[in-house]
Amino acid sequence: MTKPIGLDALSRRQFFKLAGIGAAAAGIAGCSSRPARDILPYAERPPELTPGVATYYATSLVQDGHATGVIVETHEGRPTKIEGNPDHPASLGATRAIEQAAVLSLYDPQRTRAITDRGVPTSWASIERVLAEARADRGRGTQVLLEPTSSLLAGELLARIRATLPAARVTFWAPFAARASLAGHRSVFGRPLERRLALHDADVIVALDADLVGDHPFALAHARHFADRRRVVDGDSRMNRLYAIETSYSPTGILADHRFRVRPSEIGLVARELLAELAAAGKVAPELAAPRATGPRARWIAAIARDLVAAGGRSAIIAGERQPAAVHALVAGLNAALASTCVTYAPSALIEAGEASHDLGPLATALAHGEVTTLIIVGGNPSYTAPADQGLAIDRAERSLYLGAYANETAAACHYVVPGLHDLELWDVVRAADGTISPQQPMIEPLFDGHSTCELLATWLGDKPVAARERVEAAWPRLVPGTSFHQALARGAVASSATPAVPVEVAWSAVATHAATPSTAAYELELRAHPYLYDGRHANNPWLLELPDPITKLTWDNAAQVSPRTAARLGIKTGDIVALAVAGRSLEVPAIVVPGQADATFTLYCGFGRTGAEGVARGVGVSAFRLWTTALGFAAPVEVAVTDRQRTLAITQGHWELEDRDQLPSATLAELGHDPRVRSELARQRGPQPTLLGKFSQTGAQWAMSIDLTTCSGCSACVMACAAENNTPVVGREQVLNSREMHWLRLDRYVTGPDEDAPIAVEPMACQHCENAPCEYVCPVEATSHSDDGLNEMTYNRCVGTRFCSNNCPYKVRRFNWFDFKQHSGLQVLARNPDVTVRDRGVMEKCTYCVQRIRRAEIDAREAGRPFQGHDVRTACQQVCPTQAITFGSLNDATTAVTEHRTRPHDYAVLHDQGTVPRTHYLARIRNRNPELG
Amino acid sequence: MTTAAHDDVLLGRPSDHAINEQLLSTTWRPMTRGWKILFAICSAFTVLLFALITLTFMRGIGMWGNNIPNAWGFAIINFVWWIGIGHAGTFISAIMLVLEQNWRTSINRFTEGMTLFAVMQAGLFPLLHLGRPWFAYWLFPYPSVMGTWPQVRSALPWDAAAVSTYFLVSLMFWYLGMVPDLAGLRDRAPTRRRRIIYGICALGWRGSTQQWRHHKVAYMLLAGIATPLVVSVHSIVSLDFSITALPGYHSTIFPPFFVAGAIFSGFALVLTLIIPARRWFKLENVITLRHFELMAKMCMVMSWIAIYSYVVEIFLAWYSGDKFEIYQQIMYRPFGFYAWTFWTMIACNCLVPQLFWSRRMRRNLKVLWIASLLINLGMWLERFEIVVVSLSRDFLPSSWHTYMPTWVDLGILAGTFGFFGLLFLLFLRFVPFVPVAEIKQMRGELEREKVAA
Amino acid sequence: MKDKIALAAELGSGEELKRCIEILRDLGMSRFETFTPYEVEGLQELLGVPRSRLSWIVLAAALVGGGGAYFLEWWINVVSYPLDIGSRPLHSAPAFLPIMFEMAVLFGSIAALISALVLGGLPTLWHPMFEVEGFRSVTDDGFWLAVHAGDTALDRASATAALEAAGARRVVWLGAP
Repeated sequence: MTKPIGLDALSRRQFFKLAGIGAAAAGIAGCSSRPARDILPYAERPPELTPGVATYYATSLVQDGHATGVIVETHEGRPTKIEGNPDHPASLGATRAIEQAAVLSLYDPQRTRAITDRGVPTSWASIERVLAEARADRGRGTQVLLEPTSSLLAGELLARIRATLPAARVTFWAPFAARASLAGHRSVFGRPLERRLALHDADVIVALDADLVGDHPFALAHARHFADRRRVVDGDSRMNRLYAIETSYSPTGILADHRFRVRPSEIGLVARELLAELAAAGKVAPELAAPRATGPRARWIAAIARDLVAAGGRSAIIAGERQPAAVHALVAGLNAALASTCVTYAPSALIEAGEASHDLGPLATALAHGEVTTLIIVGGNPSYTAPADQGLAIDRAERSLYLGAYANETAAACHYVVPGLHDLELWDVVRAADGTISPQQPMIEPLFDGHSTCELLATWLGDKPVAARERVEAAWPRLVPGTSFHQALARGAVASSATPAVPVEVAWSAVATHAATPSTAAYELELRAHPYLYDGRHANNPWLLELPDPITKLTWDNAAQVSPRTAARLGIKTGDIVALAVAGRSLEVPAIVVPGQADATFTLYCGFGRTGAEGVARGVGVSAFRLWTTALGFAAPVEVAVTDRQRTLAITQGHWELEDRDQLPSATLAELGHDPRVRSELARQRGPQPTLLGKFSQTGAQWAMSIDLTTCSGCSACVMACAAENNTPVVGREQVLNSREMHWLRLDRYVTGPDEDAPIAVEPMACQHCENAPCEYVCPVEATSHSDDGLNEMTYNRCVGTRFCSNNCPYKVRRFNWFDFKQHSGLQVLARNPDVTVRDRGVMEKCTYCVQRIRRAEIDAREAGRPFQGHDVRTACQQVCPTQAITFGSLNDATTAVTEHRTRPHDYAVLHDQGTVPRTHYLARIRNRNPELG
Repeated sequence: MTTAAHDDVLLGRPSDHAINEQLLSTTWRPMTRGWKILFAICSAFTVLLFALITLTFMRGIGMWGNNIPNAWGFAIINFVWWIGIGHAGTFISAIMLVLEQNWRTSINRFTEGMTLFAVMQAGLFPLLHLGRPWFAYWLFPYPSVMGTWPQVRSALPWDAAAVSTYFLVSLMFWYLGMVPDLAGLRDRAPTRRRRIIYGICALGWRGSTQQWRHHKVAYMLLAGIATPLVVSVHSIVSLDFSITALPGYHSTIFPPFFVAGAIFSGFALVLTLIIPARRWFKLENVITLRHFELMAKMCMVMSWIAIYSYVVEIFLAWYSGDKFEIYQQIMYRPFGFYAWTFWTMIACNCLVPQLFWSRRMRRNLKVLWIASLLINLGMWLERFEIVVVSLSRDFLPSSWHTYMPTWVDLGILAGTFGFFGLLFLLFLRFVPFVPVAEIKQMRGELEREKVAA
Repeated sequence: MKDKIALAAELGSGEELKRCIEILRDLGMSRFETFTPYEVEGLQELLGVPRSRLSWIVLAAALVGGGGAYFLEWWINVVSYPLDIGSRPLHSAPAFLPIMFEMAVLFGSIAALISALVLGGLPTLWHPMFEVEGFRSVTDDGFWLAVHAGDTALDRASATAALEAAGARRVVWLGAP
């Protein structure tokens, strides 16, 4: 299942090099050729592309049919960095780690390279023949499996397919696409509507197993709207309050003011008990009153209910997509009962969302009965992601065709394979989760002459071939009447094109259908999409594999998360391999002990254990999909057997406790306001200190950073953005095991409270740019020194690698090139940022406050002949942050947020008593606790 | 010091000629089988050493166990340990000369040789542990086209200066003291080839009034200079740690603590080496039990200084109230992941030397020899405590990580023992390792004092 | 040439050597040279050799080494390439001391070795005495006394007699009488 430790890191590097040799030619060609037809820049079209100066274009990245608007930085027509699109409602300028890493997937050496017939290269003409036959007899015997899509072009084509090929069957499928919520809402509202949240209006938010800032298609917008209500200036700031009720820790759980651990099957019960409380409060008809909560839960459920009622409609209760339809029905009822103005409903942006065509079952059955002549799979990886009870017998189809960008399991199972396109290579018009129309334009010509979904569907319909751009431009007036195509491309979105909310009528009879009794199973297993690999589609992306999990800090593996108490009862510790059995299907996986996990539960991420041709993904972790059945859903009773075998897990931070040190102070809003002890405790960690050292002149810009821990969810987008911006190398599992990971920015997470619900806070930790930098005076060769704008600078070319600086860094944020980690050749070197030096073996490196961006801004100011203000300088981590927890600017400028943050009562410096005078300060973690719950 | 005490630093009253024959003949008498076997073993380990150095240079020091936070490991431990070994040599030959401890005469050349070869081993590591060793010369000031210079606030350029100075001074001291004996070999060596080679090395020494006169002054001066030097060198080495802010490094008692530790381990290694050498070369009359007694007593003294330092370190950690120091010194070292190294160190450095309260033990060569090995182990572990254990638990728990050496680390350490042994065996083979002229002179003095008494 | 050695005699011990010097003195000779396996107590006083000046050379060299080192450290940090190193002052005097000390020691020691050899007339791989029969014993147990040819009081017969009477193992005359 997994390679022996000691081989994989090295072989992986070699593998890249080998793969690169073959790819180099195509790659270079790809990067040097710009799209044949013009595409439009973000702001205004540049008169001329200046070599060495990046150009920025707007486009959209799509996951399960939902668009996220992005700005792509290209150098000489080569995409190198992805930023969020501030004008796009699903991005608001931020992205997740996944979008950051998309640029590496574009250059993935394991992309499908050529059209093949059972492995033998063939031509598009033969594909056209196959599709022509599939057209015969009104498409009888032809089944098409698509990923859920919101593409307006695909919509048109599918409508024509339904009309002209009625006998063909089209199925939309992705393992984590929304199904339960739509079904639940259908039962309550009569229509499969989608929930819309206005979190900026919500005072009280209850997340029931819902990672609303993490794996929700609109997560980035949720995160921003949520965080905007939590910018604590001082003790009397107004703050919203978030209750997270979940099984395993999620970024939402980290942000929560109160977090309660329950088993997956108890979530529905909690919803019922909330309903009962509301009934008691006279908010709903008493006949709906389910049993009131008893036992330890009663206290906090009553408190939450009172808090919700007190919010007077400015509240939101959100159930996660993993929960069954009945729970979503319940929650819809709860929000209706509270007359919540923050939760509205609108039709989904996806084609046929919530309809029968989104069920994989019929296709699986048809295949099993051999009723499929031609099977056309477009995108996705159903052979790997299909539920264990709906496995696709692709080989039972007479002919199977796969269109996809990666040589994955499904590609291996199909007769014909057609190279697909990466989002950065194609033209399309898609919709964001709120329905906003978002054009997609290519940043680069297809690297491996891929074909788009629309092209395939059109060919199936027998249309004449037409260039991708023409297809879009011609369709635009039809699809989005009365808007400018060019303007849309330039902005990356069509303004106010979101689908409006619709009025709903609650069928109360359908609300309280959920069973009032929890599962009696000894242990429950919860299956979740991996925060970075998602459903496994990104498993071949080394950046994402090496990105530490927000909670467990695990890399290059998945493991069954288990609470300390349950682990003690079972006598297992982190790394022990356990056998999990669901409905007779068993899986052996290492356990990892995680504080804050609900007792008697296991949580396992999907997306690992890939077996396709993708060399990086292969053999990493185990596939949790093998335990997933549509019958049981994402939470199921599980039998656990402990084996006597272990696997060492590559965890970048094994330590959870603060060790009674004050590197991460946290307080409640009330304490910050009135508790003098807390206020002085925080004040002790900032301000001047006695020193013998003088100061060098600090005129001009003096760069500094301030990080608000109250709004940091640990989502790790900043870490990925830093790696993408600064060319930090991937080192592989074996090196991570020896604590040699190269990320310049790490997210320290600590359990900040004694109770078993284990409140976690996260502290981003990169170079603190100390004014009295301890690293500098121990360097024997002046390789690290101070710039006059307050940066702690590394001169790579001068470094001899004594590593004395790392020893003397109290924050241990310096990274060393133990080997020649950098990739020398291969397609993926094209993703590098040409503005940042690629470091050599034996050299120390660390965060530079993105000095290349600072210098670029200085040069631009000089060229424009205006005084350098530096207001436009944003570091990569700051720019990507969904909650805008990071601010950056000059201390000599009274107008910057950084200067203002320094004046707040919860501003502090880590290890202040060491006298290093760090330029990075933090705002302590503030929780808005419900007084009733203390 | 009493006559009796004097008496048994040289047994019997051999004539000048007898002394000459006995001590010079070690260079031409056929080597014992033990010597040949040892020579073969040491050569093998030397080859291993240079093979692993090549590997490290080719692949990078990722071949070692180091990581972040444990950016320093075996290389620095070995460096400090080997330098320390050297110190006993200088201590015996220089400081005791200044203090007119004439029993040191019989063993000073031996220990000076040990110093040289130990410093050579130590000198390897600062170079090896660099990420880019081919730029090591950047630590020395030279007019570079980039106009860059070393950063002399760092302790590493101090190291570079101290260690290279120490090596050169030891070499010169050793050579100057040896010139008369090289002349002796020139005049006595059996073959013409040897006579020519030794003759060149002797530079034409003929023991004239002028030569003896300046030689004596220069020798005393070098000894006088070497005395503060030996103290400065390990003090500066200790500053590699003291000038940092790291809990476990950040300590003001390191300089004296390191110097004492150095002499401690150095004396132990003198014992380790001289006990077999004395046996093989039948020098029982020149290197007597009295020498061993005195060295055993020195070890015990140094061990008490070490004990004192350990106690002070722990006390200061507690007294400072600094939670990082307290965790490192009082909780992690004695009870943490590396606790076994701590307690082994205590056993070797604090308990074992207490044997030497008993005269019988001091005069029992087997006990002495095994004790000396244990002390060397203990002193190595002391450096392990400081270098690795401190790094593996510093300020922020998020960056805590343990350190484990790789086979390359262990191989290089073993290799330096081989290389050291090789050089030492050659030294025993080709130069008189007991100073002939000085022994003759000491014999004269002994006789006069006998008469006086 | 005047300090050419005319007479060389081998004696059995330092005491004998000293006695012979006194005897020859009584015969009026004054320009002696001795060669001994090790330093003989009181010999230098007997020959009235002045105290060696070597220490002054060493001191001077040490001062040059130390002073030069400190100056260099000051110059590269303050004049040649000033840098903000963790806000430490450019002229960080305490940090400059260790190298200053080491350089003083190094220069002093080199001076000591070189001047000891040079003042002692080394290296001279050939010396007239090496031609003398049996002079090899000088590093073994032979204590040699030599008289320079330039010594006006040197008389072959009396000197030989006196030395043989004093128990010289060997008396050798160099060059023509």
